Amino acid sequence: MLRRLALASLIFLLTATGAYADAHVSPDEAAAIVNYPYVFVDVQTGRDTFLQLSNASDTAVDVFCVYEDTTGTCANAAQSCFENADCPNPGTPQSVCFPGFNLRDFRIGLTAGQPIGWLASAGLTSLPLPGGSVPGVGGQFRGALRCVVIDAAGVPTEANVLEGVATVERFQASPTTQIDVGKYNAIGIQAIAGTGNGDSFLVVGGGVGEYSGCPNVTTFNHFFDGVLDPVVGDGHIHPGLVLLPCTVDYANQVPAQVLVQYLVFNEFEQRLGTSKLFGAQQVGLLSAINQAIYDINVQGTLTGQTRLLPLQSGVLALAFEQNDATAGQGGTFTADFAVQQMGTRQQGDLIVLPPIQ
Amino acid sequence: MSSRRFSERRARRVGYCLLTLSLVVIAILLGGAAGAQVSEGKPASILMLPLLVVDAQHDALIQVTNTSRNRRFAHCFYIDGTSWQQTSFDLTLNAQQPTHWVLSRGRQVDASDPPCSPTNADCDAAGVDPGLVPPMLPGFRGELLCVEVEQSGFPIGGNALVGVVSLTDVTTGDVASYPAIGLSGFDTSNLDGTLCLGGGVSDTCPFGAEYSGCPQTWTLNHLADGTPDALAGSGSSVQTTLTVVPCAHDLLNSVPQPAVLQLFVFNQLEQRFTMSTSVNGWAERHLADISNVFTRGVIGTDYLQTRVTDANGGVMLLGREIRSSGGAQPVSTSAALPLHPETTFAGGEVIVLPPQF
Amino acid sequence: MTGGDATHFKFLGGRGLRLLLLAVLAAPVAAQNGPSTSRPGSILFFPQLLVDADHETVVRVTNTSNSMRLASCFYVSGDTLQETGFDLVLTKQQPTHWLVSTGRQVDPTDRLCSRVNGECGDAGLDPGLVPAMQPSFRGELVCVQTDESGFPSPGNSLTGEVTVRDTASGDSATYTALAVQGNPDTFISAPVLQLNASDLLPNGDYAACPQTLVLTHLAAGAADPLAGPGSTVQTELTLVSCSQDFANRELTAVTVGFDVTNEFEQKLSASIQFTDWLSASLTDISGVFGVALAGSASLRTQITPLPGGPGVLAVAREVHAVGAAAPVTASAAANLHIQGSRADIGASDVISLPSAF
Repeated sequence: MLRRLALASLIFLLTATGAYADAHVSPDEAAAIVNYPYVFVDVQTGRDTFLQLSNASDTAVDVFCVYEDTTGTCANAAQSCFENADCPNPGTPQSVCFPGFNLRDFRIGLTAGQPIGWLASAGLTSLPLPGGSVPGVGGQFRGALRCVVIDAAGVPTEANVLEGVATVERFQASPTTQIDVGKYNAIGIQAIAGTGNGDSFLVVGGGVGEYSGCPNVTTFNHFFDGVLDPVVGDGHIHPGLVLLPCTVDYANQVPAQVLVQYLVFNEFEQRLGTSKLFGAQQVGLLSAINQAIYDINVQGTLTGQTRLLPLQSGVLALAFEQNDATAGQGGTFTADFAVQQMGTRQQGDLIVLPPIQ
Repeated sequence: MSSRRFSERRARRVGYCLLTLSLVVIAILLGGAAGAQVSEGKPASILMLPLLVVDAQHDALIQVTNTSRNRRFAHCFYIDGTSWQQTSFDLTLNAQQPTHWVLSRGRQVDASDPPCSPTNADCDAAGVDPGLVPPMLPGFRGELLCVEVEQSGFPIGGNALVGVVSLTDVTTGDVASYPAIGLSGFDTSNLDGTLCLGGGVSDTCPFGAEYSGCPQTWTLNHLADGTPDALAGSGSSVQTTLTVVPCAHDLLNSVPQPAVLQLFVFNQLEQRFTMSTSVNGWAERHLADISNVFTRGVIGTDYLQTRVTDANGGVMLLGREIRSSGGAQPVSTSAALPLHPETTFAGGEVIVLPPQF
Repeated sequence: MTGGDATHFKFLGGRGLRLLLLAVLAAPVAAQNGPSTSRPGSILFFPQLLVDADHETVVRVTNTSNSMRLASCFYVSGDTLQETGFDLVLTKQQPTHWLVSTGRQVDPTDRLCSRVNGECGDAGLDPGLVPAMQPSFRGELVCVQTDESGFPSPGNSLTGEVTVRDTASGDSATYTALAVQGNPDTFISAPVLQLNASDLLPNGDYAACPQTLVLTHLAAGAADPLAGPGSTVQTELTLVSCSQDFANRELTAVTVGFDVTNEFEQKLSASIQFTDWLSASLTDISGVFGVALAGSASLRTQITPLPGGPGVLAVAREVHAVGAAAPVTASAAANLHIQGSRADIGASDVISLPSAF
């Protein structure tokens, strides 16, 4: 209770204005915190994620990372799931996939300029140079990964030195060979020099931020759902979105609850809007947010612009597109791409770390 | 002049002043009271259409008209009564322009829509399209809220809009129509996204009421549930449903507003019964499901008067009477029931709109 | 340097007014250090466009502001270095798109996409006449935000994405255009854009190109981490010069150096010289990128332009192939990380636009 009051007080303080130093939330630059919004493993369908993390500095750094596992559990069966459709008797009111929020942390050391890479499912039993190990997440995982630069004592530092890249891949050897890859840069949250106080409450943005603030409005361009592929003329395009809250409480294992307001513009400048609440992570096609407003047959033009405004917490976003072409090897092809941000949230966010050994 | 005559003259003057003042006060009270009433059919600045249904059996035709001689704009929200998810869209109506759309189909903007003519009966989209209206998918049960705005999106009290909904049983062709419930706008709008319905000056409403207040008490004259239809006779029955929508709306945070309704039922023997029911955001209830007091066998007479009061706020109600013929192959028909607003909630409420960003 | 379009709160007065005051009182938001994929800008670089017998490219551009925006765009052929210019007009918040091979015409009779019309690729407000680059094209696209007279206008309203499709296999790779932010306070008196601003030197005209680009990648010829032996990964790097002379087509040679660090902190280096545009696999650039020489699968490559010469921007495309005889392939595009600003080391770039005549 006291901790929650303290958190609430901190969040209240974050609404004050203050000067910004030159720090950014961006997938383009090295940062003190890197966020991989989408890590997916499902060995049954041949899916895994290859994660790469690099130290951009010329000195060694320690890194503390947390996997956030949002893999769900069926309400009507003791089995894991990603969507309601994965549970028995889909379509019934009882067939609900309740999202989870399980955490797994690890600590590694990166030498000067060192890149490392690992498959999320298997991890790394030992780094190429002495520096710890990375646990595997196993055969079924959907969630995110966040990494924070720390010092030898486990205290977060202001070193903006981490660069991250993820490759989300699907590979099937039989009955026919199929492969699909999508890549994205981890979204970095840069530390603001001279503001860190060495505690486990990482203040992101707001008037007293130790790190650059999360975006106020996020915007991205996309095809509407069900567009007949204008290139191949065969198959349809299905756009999607991944959202990860900026605020997260690892100490109490409490995910944020975020309501996001959406405005969608088509190529006629016509505007529709909606809103949707999500918890630890939102992964899905845009049509799952609101089927009507993202339908090509409703919007009438091939492409649109979505602007989203989160309320209770900032969000980090990643857009993707799935093309279900029947040409070539068939199957679904996925492409991931960065979204744009406009402004910075006035109200800050908070990352609460657990005790770090 | 004698003092007596002076006194008489002064007394007459005072009397005239008091009379004039009284007339002014009466006029203000009457004018205020009239302005504080919701309107069904009178042009207004906020339109509420409490009941819209799309499913395998039902659809709805929505008509909105600009009654003014100038172009008018509106920002509208479909609100799902179960999930409380909102879908917003914009309307542009030219001078005196009526428009319409079918709930399940929405409407696109297409200047090439052919007009209706002796040779073209497929002309549902004929006319100046008011904007891109999304379709609502089967399973939608909820309301439509339209707010008159000016071109840049600020809410205004132009009082130009009227609306009508025709609820259609697509399997039988039965139609029940009801006018939109309108809230008149005043010229006190402070152009923010918080619409002040009734009430006085407050922190939230620094200029007091911007729109008329919502009814707190409604009166409904209806048949007891199970009463046979007077024409169809034995075996037939009548049921009454109420759709309840609390006036307060928080569309920014997408939070349904609660209401606790007190119902007072009077039968033809002047006997009174009371019960209560709670609503969260939106509800449609058969009276018999609220309490079996509404059934013919319990209440003892066929004709009833029910007064519905929300102790803590204003509420919008829509009554619907469903008559079933009974027999081996029953057919049914429905009609909207006229409800009468009796008192206005004096406390003031707000509709909070999501921002444009 | 101030940032791009800030969040536009439309509802003033009351809560909206307080927010506006807070925004005014707050210190200016820090600008991006260099070209970014996460913020709208005034210059868009699309480094890699590909049209041939097996590939097509879809370009998407969005105006993220609430006002009409114009842009002058230039295709530059990587083979002939010839430029083809055209203009775009985008209404507020309007997204648009076109295929590089077919371009886009202005045709108000373009039919809307609907359930009965799937041939609707040009539905929407046409942004202008976009030339068709047929039958093949390899090169880049640069778009500069302008005012009505064609002069550069640093309004920071534009975002863009490119999807390169393999028409045979259906595979797609999407990357986000690199957006260069302009200084809205600068006065531009000639059609010459100086890319000479940074966080440390905010009074320049446009954000300078980075000192270094960073590519995190797999060594050329390394096995796909998921598919394992029998598979290979190749990375194709496309480099474009930050300095572009669209007025006189005086082209400058660009020399870049590559510093490669493997997972064992071992370093290798290479360099290459090109004119204006280069797209080549890492294997073709230098053998240091090969898995045999590189010494580990994951590599971190820093790409630094030679001091005294133009800066560079880049995008990478990773191609995963399985099988030797008739490989099945999938590709993913990746944006590179950036480090530092050329402005901070006294370097800048210039983009010259043709004068109107």
